[in-house]
This record gives sequence, C-alpha cells and structure tokens, in this order.
Amino acid sequence: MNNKRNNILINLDWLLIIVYLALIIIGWINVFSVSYTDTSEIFDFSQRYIKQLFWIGLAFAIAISILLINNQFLNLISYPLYVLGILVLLSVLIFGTVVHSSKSWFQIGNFAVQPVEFVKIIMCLVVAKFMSNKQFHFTNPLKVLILLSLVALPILLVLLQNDTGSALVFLSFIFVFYREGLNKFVFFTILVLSILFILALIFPINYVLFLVFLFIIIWFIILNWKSIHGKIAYSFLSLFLIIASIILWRNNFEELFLRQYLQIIILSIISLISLILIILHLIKKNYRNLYFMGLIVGISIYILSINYVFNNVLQEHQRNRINELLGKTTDVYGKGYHVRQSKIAISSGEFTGKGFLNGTQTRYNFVPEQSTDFIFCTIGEEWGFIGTTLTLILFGLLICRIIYLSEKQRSAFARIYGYGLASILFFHVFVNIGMTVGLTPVIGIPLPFMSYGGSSLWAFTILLFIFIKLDSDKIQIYWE
Amino acid sequence: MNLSIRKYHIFAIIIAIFLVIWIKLFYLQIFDDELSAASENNSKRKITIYPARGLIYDSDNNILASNEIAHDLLVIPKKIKNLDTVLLCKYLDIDIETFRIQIENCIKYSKIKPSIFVKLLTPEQYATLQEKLYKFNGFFFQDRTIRKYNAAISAHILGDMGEVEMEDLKSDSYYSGGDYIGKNGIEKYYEKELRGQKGISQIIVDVNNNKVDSYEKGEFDIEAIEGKNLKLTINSELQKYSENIMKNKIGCIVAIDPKTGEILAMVSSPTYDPQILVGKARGENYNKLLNDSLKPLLNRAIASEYPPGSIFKLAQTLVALDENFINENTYFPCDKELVNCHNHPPCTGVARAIQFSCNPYFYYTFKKMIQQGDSKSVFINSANSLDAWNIKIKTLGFGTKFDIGLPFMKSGLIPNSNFYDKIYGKKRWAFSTIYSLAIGQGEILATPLQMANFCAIIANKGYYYTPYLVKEISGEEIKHPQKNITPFKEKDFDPIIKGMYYVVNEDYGTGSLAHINDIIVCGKTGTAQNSKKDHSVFIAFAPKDDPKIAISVYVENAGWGNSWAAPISRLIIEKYINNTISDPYLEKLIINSSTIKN
Repeated sequence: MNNKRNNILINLDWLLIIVYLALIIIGWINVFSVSYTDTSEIFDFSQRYIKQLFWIGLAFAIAISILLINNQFLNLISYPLYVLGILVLLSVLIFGTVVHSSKSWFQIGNFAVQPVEFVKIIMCLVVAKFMSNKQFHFTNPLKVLILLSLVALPILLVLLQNDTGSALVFLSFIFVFYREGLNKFVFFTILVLSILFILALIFPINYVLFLVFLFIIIWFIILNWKSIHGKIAYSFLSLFLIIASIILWRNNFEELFLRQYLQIIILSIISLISLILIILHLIKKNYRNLYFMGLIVGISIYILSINYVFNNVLQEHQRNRINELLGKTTDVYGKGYHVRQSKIAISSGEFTGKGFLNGTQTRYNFVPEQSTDFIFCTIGEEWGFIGTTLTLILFGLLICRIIYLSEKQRSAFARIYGYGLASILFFHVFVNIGMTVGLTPVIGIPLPFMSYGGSSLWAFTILLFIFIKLDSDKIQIYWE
Repeated sequence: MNLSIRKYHIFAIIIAIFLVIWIKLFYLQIFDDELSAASENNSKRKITIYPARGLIYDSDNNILASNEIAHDLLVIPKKIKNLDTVLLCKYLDIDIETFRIQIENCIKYSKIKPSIFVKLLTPEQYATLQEKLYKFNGFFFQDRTIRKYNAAISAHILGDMGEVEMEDLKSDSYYSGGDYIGKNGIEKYYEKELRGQKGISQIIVDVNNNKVDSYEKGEFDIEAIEGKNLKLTINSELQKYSENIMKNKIGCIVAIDPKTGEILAMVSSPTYDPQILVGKARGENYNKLLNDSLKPLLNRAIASEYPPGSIFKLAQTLVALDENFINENTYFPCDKELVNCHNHPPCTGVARAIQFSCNPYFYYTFKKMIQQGDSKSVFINSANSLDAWNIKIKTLGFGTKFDIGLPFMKSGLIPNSNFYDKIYGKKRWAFSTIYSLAIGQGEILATPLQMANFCAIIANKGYYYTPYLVKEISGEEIKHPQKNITPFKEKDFDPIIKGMYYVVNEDYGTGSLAHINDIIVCGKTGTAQNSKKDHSVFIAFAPKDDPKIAISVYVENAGWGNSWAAPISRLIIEKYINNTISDPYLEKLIINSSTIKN
C-alpha cells in the first residue's frame, strides 16, 4: 500500500500541478484585489476573497481524493454518470434558480451550484468512453449519429436553460473528433466558417473580405508558385498592395475602410484575377484555378449573406441582442458597455500595470462581473502586459502539456479524455479572455481556475485531476 | 492513416489563436493610449471649488454686494425610482410636458452623472421641496453662491454679472463654460480682484459616480482663494438720496470730494435695482432694460457726452485770464448782436459776467482768444489759436478718460484745428465758424464726470485728484495717482469763484435756487441747447472757503439750469454737509416732479 502511494506521487505530472497551483494563486490574488476594500475586515467571511479561499481548500481536498480513485472505476461509471447528469440538467430546468436571466443554478441554502460545470466532466468521460470503443469509427454513420446525439442532448438542455455560453463550450469537442479521425475537409470547413461567421459580425464587412481574399490569394500563390499562374497572381497581389499602400499613405487607415476605396479595389482585383484564372483554365484545363475561383466566390457569398441576413432579415431586437453579445452596442447597461469598460481597464494597465490593489477601473466597479467572468481585466489593469502575458503563457503551457501527455497515453480512453479536457480548457480561455479584449462575443463563461466561484473551480479541478490520475497510471497499464 | 500527426494541426490552431489574443493585448496595453486616457476619465473627477466672490462695501462699511446661497435641483436619472411626476411638477411649478423634455435632456447627457434639472430654485420652491425631497429618489440639491445686492442702489457703479461668453473663454483660460463673470461696472473692472482663485479637488469615483477617495490624498488639490473685498468711496446715504431725487428725471449726478478725488455719489437716471439682474429673472429683466427707450442700462455719468452749455464759460474765463486776454475788470457790452442774451445789468467785470451768464461777454472773450492777429490769414490765425486753447482746456480734465474704476468710459470732445479741417477743409473755417464754443455749445462735448471734476479744480483753485471709486482692496488702501496740478495761477480762480458766488447768492444770479441759508454755495448754471427741450445743467461746490463737495447735475430736456439742476444740487449739497434739508417743500416738489414727457 505504502509502495503504491509512493508510486502515484512519483508518477504524477508535477508540471501540470505547478501550473494549476500558479493559476489558482494568481486567480485568488486578483479576486482579493477586486473584493477587498479598506473598510472590510481581513477575516470577514462574507467577503468573496475569504469564500474563494474556502472553495480553494475544498478543491485541493477533491483533487487529492480523485488521485485515490481507481481508473477502472472512472471508466465504468461514465454511462451511469451521463444519465445522472441529464437528470440533473432536467431538474435544474424545473427547480433551478434564475441568475442573470439563465435558469442554470441550484440554490441550496446560501450555496448556489451550477450543474452544467459538472456536466462538462461527465461529457469528457462519456465521449472518451464511447469513442475509445474499438468499434467506433467515423466512417460508421450509426456510431457517429449516436456520438452526436450524446453531445447534442446536454447542449439542448443547457440551451433551454438560456445558458448559451455553456452550451457552446461543448462545440469544442470538434477538436477531439478531428484528432480521432473526423474528415479533414469537414473539420476545416466548420472551423473556417465559424471563424468567418464571428469575424463578419464583429468587424466591418470590408475588413473581413479584405483579409480573407488576401489570405486566399497568398495561399494560391504558395501552391502555384512553380507555375506561371502563381507568378501572375503574385504580380497582381503586389500591384494591389502598392495601390493600397499609396492610399494608406494619402489617407489614414480608417478612411481607407470608411470611404469604400477598398471595396472598389477588392472588386476590381478579384474580377481581374478571376478573368485571368478563367482564361488560364480554358487554355490549360487546370481545375485548381476553378477551385480557387469557387472558393473566393463561395466565401464572398457566405460573408455577404451573413451581413445581409443580419441587416435585412433579422428584426431590430434580434440585431440588438446579437450586437450586445458581440459587445458592439454603446448602451450604458448593455454588454457593449461591459466590453468597453473591460478594454479600458486592460488598456490602462499598460506595460507594468498599476500595481496590486491600485486598479481603479476594476476596484471601483467600472467593469461588471469583475471577480467572475471579467477577472482577466484585473490582471490586465493591475499587472499590465507582463501579467497578461504570463497568464497566457501559463494557460498555453497547461493546454499544450495536456495534449502532449494525451498523445503519450497507451489507452484510447485516457487520450480522448485528455483531448476533451484540453478542448474545453482552450474554449474557455479563448472565449473568456477574448471577450475581455473584444475579440469574442460576451457569452459569460468563467476563466478556468481563476474566476470567483466554487462550481467552476471544483469542476475544472476534477477535470484536470482525473487526467493527472489517468496519466499517472499509464506506466502501470503498460506493465499490465 | 496516422492520426497522431493531427496533434500538430491542433497545436498550430491553439498557438495561432493565443497569438492573436496576445497581439490584441499588446495593442491594447502598449499601443492604445486613447483607451488608457478613458480610464482616467472614468474614475478621476476634477471638482472645481468656487471661491466666495469679494464683497463690496460703501465708504461707511455698509455692504453693497455680497453672496448668497442659491439652490439648484439636480438629478441622476439612473437613481430615479417610483417617481410621483405630478407631485414634483406641482412643487416645481412646471407642466408634465416640460418635465418630460427636461428629463430626456438629462438622460441624453448622462444616466449616471448628475445634471441640473432646475436652476436657481426660488426660496419658496426650495422650502417646500426640502421637506419632500425624500419622496423623489434621484433628485438632490446643489448649492451655489450667487450675487446679492444688499442695497437697491448704485446699479451703474456696481454693474452686474452674467455667464461667460465665448470671447471670455477664449481670452482667459481661467473661465470654463457656465462660470459667472462681471459684465459691467465695478464687477467687470475689478473682476480679477473680486473673483479670487478657483480651487481644484481631485477625487476618485466609482461607477455610480460616488466619491470613493481623494486622489493621491489630495496632494494635487488646489485650495480656492477667496475674492478680495472692495471698499468704495460711495456714500450710500447720499447715493440713495440722489437716486431718489432723480426719480422720473433723465440725467445724472456726480459728486466728488475735491480734497481727495473720491466719488461720493454717482447717479444715472433712470436706474434700476441691481438685484433684478441676478438669478432666474436676469434674462427677462435684462432684455426689458435693454429695450427701454430711456436706456436705463447706460451710465450717463461717464458714458454720455453732453454739450456742457454755460458752465463751460468758467473754463473760457480761466484760459482767457491766464493768457491775459482779459483781466477781472474787463468790460464787454451785452449787445446781443451775434449771440442772444437775456436782460441783465451791465457786466462790470468777469465775476458779474459769470453771475449773469452773459453770452456776448464770452463771445468777445473767445473772439479775443481765437482772433489774435499774429498771422495775416484769419484762417491760420484761428487754427493756431484754437490748438493753443485746446491744450489749455484739456489740462482741466476735458477730453480725457479718467481711470475711476469703471469700464465703458467716454472721453468727451474738445475740438482742435484738425477736427475742423476734417469737417470744413484746411483754411476754410475761422472764428465765425466756431464761435458757439464760447458758450459751451457747438461741437464741444463733456461727460458729467468731467464737469464735476472741473468744478473740483475750481474749488481747489488749480489742482485735482483723478476721481476714483475704490479706496480699499481687502483692507489695504490703494495708491491713487498724484494730484494733477493745472497750469493755471491760483489768483485767476478768485474772480471765477466770486462769480460763482454771485450766481447763487446775489440778485440777478442765474442759480438762485441753489442758495442755502447756512452754507455758502458757489455754482454755475448751464442751459445746453438741444433740438428738443434744452438740458438743465448745474455745477457747484460748497462751502465756498473750505470745499467739501463738488457736484455736477445734468437733467436732460428739463429747461433752464436754474429750474432743475440748481435746486437738485442744492438739496444734495445740504444733505451731504448738514444731513438735513431746511426746505422740505422744495425737496418734496423736486422728488415728486417728472421731467419725462409721456
């Protein structure tokens, strides 16, 4: 027994644990900074930083107990847990409490628990369990259908709770699917279309079209460099960039987009390139040219239709709702205001930050939800670019380390679980930090290990330590 | 198919997205200064602390202008809760529609910052609202100080205050929009002394605009410095009495202490209560005054240029005596050939000529001065003589702007050869063109202040102190210019004073109504010709041997000098020296009469 425990300690991935602890500590310091006021007593249990300390203590206890669970047990309880999770989500819909317009909380006395956080763990386990089955393959439509249903059911329930943010988190399993054999074309198409979807809504249409075409043309040039087409396209691109630079030089950058010069340039360049591609196709019968033309036309139509639907089909209140999510409105009470305040706070930190407890924006409530969803603002304001970079590096290190370790797993279950964990973490970090800097919609999901709140902290601790436990057993499994 | 290669794609996507976030952070935190500046705007508030404006006292330390607290009703739209609109409208005496427009304007400005809902509540509104304010969440009072003119007198001296205009903002960075600034009178002239120095308190506020802390423990705060108090030379009692006398008359009074140059009273009529130009009713009242045909806003004492009329004969005499064109016994016949005159005994000497205000006498005197015969050309002769005359006259304070402490001063006009050259052309005019100057008519113009000052020069027999209104600034006496000594010989003043004595105290004197039993008044009437009815003019000083007051009275379109200006002067002199009036019947008559034609 003694021997086995030593074994566990040695086999634990201490890098993951150190990064985890670092994130927890940084998170708590910033929760303290937001919620501590000069008038409050240090050990006032109604203060958030004391409560958070309490949640952290419990999280450590949970982490240790997870390390003591048998791996086979985790594998076995996946399906029963899934059923339990669905039941809990259903009962939240019926008995839950409404917080910030979403009915996703259980109120038990003074405590409020958000079950969807724990459903993330269950989903990781279930997806890993289902896909690690040797009979599962992406070429088998029935299995794929079952897999999609497994994922879709909780998404549907969470959407019914009006908790869009948490529902979207499960979309991140696309990375897991891709790693396990999802068709490359399907994956990249979905990825590109969803990125373009957000870009087209957030940024001016000219801007997006310009970047997309630039990207496609460069891609085309790289692929065709050896043939005459690439060189012709290269010449056109150079010409285009020269004209654009002249306009940039004459006017300022914003004017370039405001005055629609760009649209004219894009349209003329695109039509010229298309014309040349068609002529080349007719002469040399090269289908790749047609493919690129189709790509350009298809994406243009896609982006323009998003724009069209948004401006002409949607009702005004729907538009406002989306603009709110995207942080584009300037209404003082809307989410646009949140994003602006958040950007102001982060921006004011500059390189070195204002220092611990010196952030005026976050400490004096200019930024909403400072200790929960917008905790990153406090880091930005009080610790500056140094603090935000360090935080990004820690998260990057955590996620990449998890993927790296996943690849080393001998069991498919552990690997798929690891990818699920990495995907969920990545989605949370990207969307949460993204919304504080105005890159992603404000969908209200917490920053893992850092945001104030027990549910999310415990859920992510469990998620991570299940993986650490699975990872620590890889050698044992190998021996078996 | 080796799927593990796909981990690199996933790595690449993750790293790419992290890079995008990192670049955005770099842009926000290192490049973008605009948003950082917004952070300060967000949380730092500069609060201007307005100092109390300096008080204005009269010469006996009675307060003329002070400050009082007025109340504005402010609103923070976000904090409005369960508002009983009808009740509030009732208290504020506005209708619902006005209320709606007003509140929308406030919301447009800011939902979380306070904006002024009603400016300057009346005391009644404030009293009722103060008790009921707890019912109106989101509304609160803000105090501000406004000017209070304690005595309803000397509007033209004190001036008024109003909001700064664009030019003020541009020319003086001290002001910001909505500040108040002196617009006229002492308030304008001594604006810099009265306003003091604004203070700044920097505070940190939270998102609801509540003060959290002072910025850097108040290290960058600037304390407000109170405005300086002014003590005027004005004698309130005399000023009030003079204003009362001038009721229903158009014109002005200037009374100077010849021994110091202090202005004892300065009245321009019609006048108004300075308090009506304070607060809410300012705009309306100001327009009313501005559009009044009698021009109550004009300070006639310093800004109206009148023909001085016969009082100017004294100046003529002085110059003529000084240059020895005449002596005190010179005789000229009252032949009424060129200028008209009334019937009076012969002028056996200058003093008698002054007594009877004999027009031909001064015509001949002036002719002697202008047609000296030193050049063969009568034109050149006249031009040279006039210029010499002009210089002498100007030493008596005519044609000069005195720096008495008021803005918008006029200089009057003493013509010289250039002036007539411009009108008639060089060598196209001579004495016969300009002879009406002899009796203070024609092109010559003077302000009542200059007339009073001239009278002080006579009282002093040859010197004057530049008249002034402010004698102390925050308790310290201000230095006034050295006394101005005129080039005239003291003995030349004797026949003039004698003449002025005759005017008031002897039979056939033109200013008999200025006579007081126990005070020897020396004066001179004037009846300035005017296209409508003549102006009634009088200057006087008293007592003869120890002058305490020199006065000029100018009543527009009132007729003979003796009929209005002389008795008015008499009353004021007696009031000032004896503080009682020995002839209440005259006093009553003057006060109750009107010279304004309806």
